[in-house]
Amino acid sequence: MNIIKHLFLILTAFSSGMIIAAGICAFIAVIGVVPRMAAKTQTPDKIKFYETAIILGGILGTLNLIFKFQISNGFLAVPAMFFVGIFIGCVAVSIAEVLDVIPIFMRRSKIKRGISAFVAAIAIGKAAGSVIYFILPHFYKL
Amino acid sequence: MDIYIEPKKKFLAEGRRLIFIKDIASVYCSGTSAEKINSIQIFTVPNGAEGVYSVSFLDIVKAVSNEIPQAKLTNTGEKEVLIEYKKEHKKTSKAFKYVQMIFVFLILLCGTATAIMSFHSDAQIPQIFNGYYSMFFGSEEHSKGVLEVPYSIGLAVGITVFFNHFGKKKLTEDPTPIEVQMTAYEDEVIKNQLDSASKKEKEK
Repeated sequence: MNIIKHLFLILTAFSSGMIIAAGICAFIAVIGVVPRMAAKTQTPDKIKFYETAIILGGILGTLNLIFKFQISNGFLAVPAMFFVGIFIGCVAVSIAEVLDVIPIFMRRSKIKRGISAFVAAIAIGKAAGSVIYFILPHFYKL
Repeated sequence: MDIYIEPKKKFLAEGRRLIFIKDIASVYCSGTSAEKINSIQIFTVPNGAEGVYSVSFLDIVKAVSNEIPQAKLTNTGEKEVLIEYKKEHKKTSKAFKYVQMIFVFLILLCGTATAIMSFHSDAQIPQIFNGYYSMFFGSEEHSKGVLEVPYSIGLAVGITVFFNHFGKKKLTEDPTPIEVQMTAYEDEVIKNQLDSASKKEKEK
């Protein structure tokens, strides 16, 4: 009886993993971050290479549930967090863009120029928000 | 005389200001004058300014009828062709390209790992695992791995199936989801550039 229960448990966990993986990957694929990066670096033929990065990243992030990774060289955190920051920055702006916030506001307010200034404002605002969140007390608790 | 013209989506002109029909379209005609049509000059980049310009099918019709008045044109391709003019051929070194590729690779690797972990903590996956375990065994105390290991395997399988390949090995012949997105993105960029190019021409 116990074995059957365990089998069901394993099946449940396996299926959850498959569906959640597809959900997260669909999110990253649909939000259009990767095509933009590929276009910017003029490597649209290397999409498979980038998808491999997503596959490995997803697996690594999940393995963190089981193993507590220990990397002895703490300085590696600096470049790693830099890359994470770029990714989260791209995704955060993509969400706002997908929801068409900026075009709708520009249409409503009948402003036709200054997109570059607005984009700069968004970037500065996000960076300032991030700094405030991590440095000022009360916002960020471990 | 029937002439079939299939304009392309985009033509990249590097260091050349004169654009001929053969650059922006493929031509078929029943007579022998395909050569003649191919070498009709369709567009000159004004002032040699770098940028994007558009040539519409109507422009092609006008240019061809100037040369061959009895021509009857049929369009089998795009309505407008985007012409991107650059003063010289820019070549990025291979090493720089690899650096860029590795940069993007690392962003995606670290970013996706963070995305999945933030999803786990956001959705409180460990608590859900506890719930599952107590559903089957009545207590929430379980050795780590009973649910986490199959979940992780499932996640790896799910990602691989979703992207349709692992490394360079493809599972089926379909294009991968991001390759599809890439094509859609490139089409959108061309559409947008055509829009702004024709807007600029109207302002003049």
